[in-house]
Amino acid sequence: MSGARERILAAVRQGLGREALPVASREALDARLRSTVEPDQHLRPRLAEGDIGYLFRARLQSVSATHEPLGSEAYVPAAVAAYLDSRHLEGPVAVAPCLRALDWRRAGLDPRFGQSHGEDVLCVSRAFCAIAETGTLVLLSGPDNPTTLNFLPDHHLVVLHAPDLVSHIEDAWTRIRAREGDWPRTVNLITGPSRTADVEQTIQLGAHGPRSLHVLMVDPGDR
Amino acid sequence: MTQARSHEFRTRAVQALRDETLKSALARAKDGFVLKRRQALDALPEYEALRDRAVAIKNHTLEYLDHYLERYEEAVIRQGGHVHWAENAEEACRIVVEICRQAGARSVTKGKSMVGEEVGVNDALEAAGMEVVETDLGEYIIQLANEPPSHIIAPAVHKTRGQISDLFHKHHARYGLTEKLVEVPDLVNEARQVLRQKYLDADVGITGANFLIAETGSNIIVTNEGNGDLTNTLPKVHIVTAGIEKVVPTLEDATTLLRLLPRSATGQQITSYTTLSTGPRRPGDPDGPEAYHVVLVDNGRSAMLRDEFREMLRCIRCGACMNHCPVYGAVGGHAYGWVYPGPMGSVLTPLTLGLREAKDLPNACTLNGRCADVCPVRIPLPDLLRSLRHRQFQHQLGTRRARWALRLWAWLAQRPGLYRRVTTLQVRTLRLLGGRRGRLRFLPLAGAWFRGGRVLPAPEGETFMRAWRRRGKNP
Amino acid sequence: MTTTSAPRRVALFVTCLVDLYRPTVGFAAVKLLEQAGCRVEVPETQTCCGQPAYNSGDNATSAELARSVIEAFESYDYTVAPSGSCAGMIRYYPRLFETEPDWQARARALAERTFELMSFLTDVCGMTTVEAGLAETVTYHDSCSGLRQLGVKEQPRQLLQGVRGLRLKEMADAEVCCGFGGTFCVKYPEISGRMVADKADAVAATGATTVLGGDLGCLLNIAGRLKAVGSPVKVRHAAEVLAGMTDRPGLGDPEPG
Repeated sequence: MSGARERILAAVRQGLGREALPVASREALDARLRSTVEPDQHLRPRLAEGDIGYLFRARLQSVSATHEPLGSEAYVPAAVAAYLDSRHLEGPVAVAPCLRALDWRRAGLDPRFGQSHGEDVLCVSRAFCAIAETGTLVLLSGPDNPTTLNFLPDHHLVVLHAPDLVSHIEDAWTRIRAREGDWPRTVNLITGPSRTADVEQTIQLGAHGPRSLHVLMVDPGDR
Repeated sequence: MTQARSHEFRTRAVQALRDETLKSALARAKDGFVLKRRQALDALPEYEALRDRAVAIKNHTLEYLDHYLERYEEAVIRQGGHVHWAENAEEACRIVVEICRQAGARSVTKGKSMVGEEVGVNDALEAAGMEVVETDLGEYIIQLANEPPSHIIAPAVHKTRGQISDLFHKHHARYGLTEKLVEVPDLVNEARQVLRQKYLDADVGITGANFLIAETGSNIIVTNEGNGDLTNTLPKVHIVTAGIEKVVPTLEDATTLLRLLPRSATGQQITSYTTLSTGPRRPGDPDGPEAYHVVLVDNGRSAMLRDEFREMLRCIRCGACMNHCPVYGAVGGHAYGWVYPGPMGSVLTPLTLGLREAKDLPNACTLNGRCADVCPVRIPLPDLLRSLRHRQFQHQLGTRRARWALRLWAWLAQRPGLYRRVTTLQVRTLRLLGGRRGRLRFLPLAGAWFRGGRVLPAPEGETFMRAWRRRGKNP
Repeated sequence: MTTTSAPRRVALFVTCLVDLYRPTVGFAAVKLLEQAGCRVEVPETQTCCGQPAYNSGDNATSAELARSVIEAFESYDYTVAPSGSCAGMIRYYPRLFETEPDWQARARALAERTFELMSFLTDVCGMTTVEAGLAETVTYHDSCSGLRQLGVKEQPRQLLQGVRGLRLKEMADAEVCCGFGGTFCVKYPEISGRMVADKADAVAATGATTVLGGDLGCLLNIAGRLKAVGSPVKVRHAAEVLAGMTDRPGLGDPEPG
């Protein structure tokens, strides 16, 4: 196998008409890899004037996701209970361990904390951040926020804190890099519920992943 | 490698043209893709600048491909993943089968991977006794139909609802689903139900990659259904199959390309799911694969770096070229006979399978240029097709008759005096044959023109050059 | 119309299809160019631009033909063709001489001064209107080389607006290829036939009585289909209408009487 590696790299170099790069060139390329400053800031799509929160909510709507404002994270369990009630949903609920400290019992819920195995009707996870440009939620995998919660339930509810809303995709990368530890195993950029157009180009929600995506936007200033 | 039938292009194209069901499926798809892309790009004033930047990023990466591949590999290994290198399709299949065997796999789920189609990984896994389930709905449909994809982003675009209903009815009975469903939501739901169990049962999940990030060692997949995520999260082993040209330096570089890919493909600003996977599950992770493998596939790509075909390696597989190709729109993807149809396929197939096997593909094109116009990474597809024609000409792959006709014409065209006499005679004859009707219904040696369901308008009767000289207009 | 003292010396590249099929288009081009203040000449030795060879991968033959064209046309101020396709081919000439710098320089010099007729009239000569009338609803097919290689889109429409009584009604997919494609139409007649059938349907759907275009290849193809299905829609090169030379029957139509 290592033979194939060497042969492919040699073939690439032959195709490029040169030998392996000299150290100086490699260092220059590595500097480009490390410096993640965009060369062309102006290539970020210009967003509509005004509040990025407003833009984000408009984008969510355009991709068939729903949202509701919450004055505090403490209200999340009640909001989840109300969501279940209003849709007459019954069945197991799984919640990301990072939301374990909330008072779920008071909302009449007894969720499981941890990953999903596919039997849950609804899962709740927490977004690391969100992107106004595209209406995208950014979720990172880890013990506190299992990836399976994002894909196995019919209903996916995501807690987003208002200060975690950024304007462009690049801002999300910057935030992820700035946090402690390695690059996460999984970064999910989620924009609306699962969909398919594979049958006669007709858009149908809930192909394999969640049929609905609901964002709980925690904003203490939004009272 | 997936069995090629590109040499049958002519007969398959003619069959496709007679297929009325296909005609309506293609018309519906084409209108949708074209319109949605247009709307998405009209809302993006930065489009042309983004294209330029995308071209620069891809060109830069290709120029230093060896370096970025090495850096990517290091990053994957740093994160606990494994990188395998495959020079060709057979090697890629062997590697994938071996990983699956070592994992004791009986069932394998697959997210959509064009490289997987290219190397024919399904056949290899099935030959090794494993069950392979395509999970992208379109791929699943054509797997049931035992057909190759007819489009790179909408593999079952040629299938109608009725045909899908028949397929599901036939194949889902063994899961106890015996009711014949016909409505789109019901069909999607039934597939969801069947495939959900497959995801949970799978031992290995295989996905492709839209981008490989040298900076972080991540692979990025772009999907709408969520099938790719269930494929790379649930099984204990995740294998990524990717062409070596998929690597880009940083996430910022990938972001530029991500702004172009869904818009060019489906007219979406971004797809429902854009997922970065980096290595296997970490300590404490409750889910995610225990092992993460990447198979980097060359299969003819490194050779394309040598010449003008390097431009083809910029391709991000958005499908816009085929959505806007009038030939693809007429004959559909299957006529092309291999995994990549349309303009990009007409360049890639001859380069991968040889000029002879894919003899027709570079020629079955009017060089109208619409594909190059819509290509987000500005691949000059018509020029590349013309280059392939030049290579074919050098290898004398055209018909003898066409060569001689061309040679005779050129010989004549270089002798203006003789040319005038011959054309004058030609024009008079045609005029005579056309008579007062002003058109011809048949002409010996020119039967092909009429096979296109056309008459031949008759000429006015005198050449311009003769009339001009008669009027003594030149000073 | 022109402001310079010396009139532009324009060489007309007739194109082989106009030469053979539709001399009227050549005369219409001459008339329009003269109206625009040009002095028009028709180099005697011209035959073919070499495109069939170029598009068939026979670059050597194409280069041979290109040399003849360069020699015949390089002494004029401009070369103008009533065809986006042939003008486009001449613009490609520099590509044929990658290993011959002298010829490449000559090819480039010619390419830079070569134009499609209608865009030359508007973009170079500044023509804004024409002396012609046609009381009909017409539709316009954008030929691919003109449209995508040379950017010919608004110019013919702008000129057609100046034709008295003419109403332009756009067809669906006006920018989609008609299926001619030079040798394509005889190499893959069935595919070409489907494409031109779609085009003919789009033309018919507008209700126009005449379809116009800027390339005789496409027009022969479209006329071939329309006349095969008995359509009364007339097919003409736009130059005929702009020059007021619409006495002749449309392509593929019978002589009156």
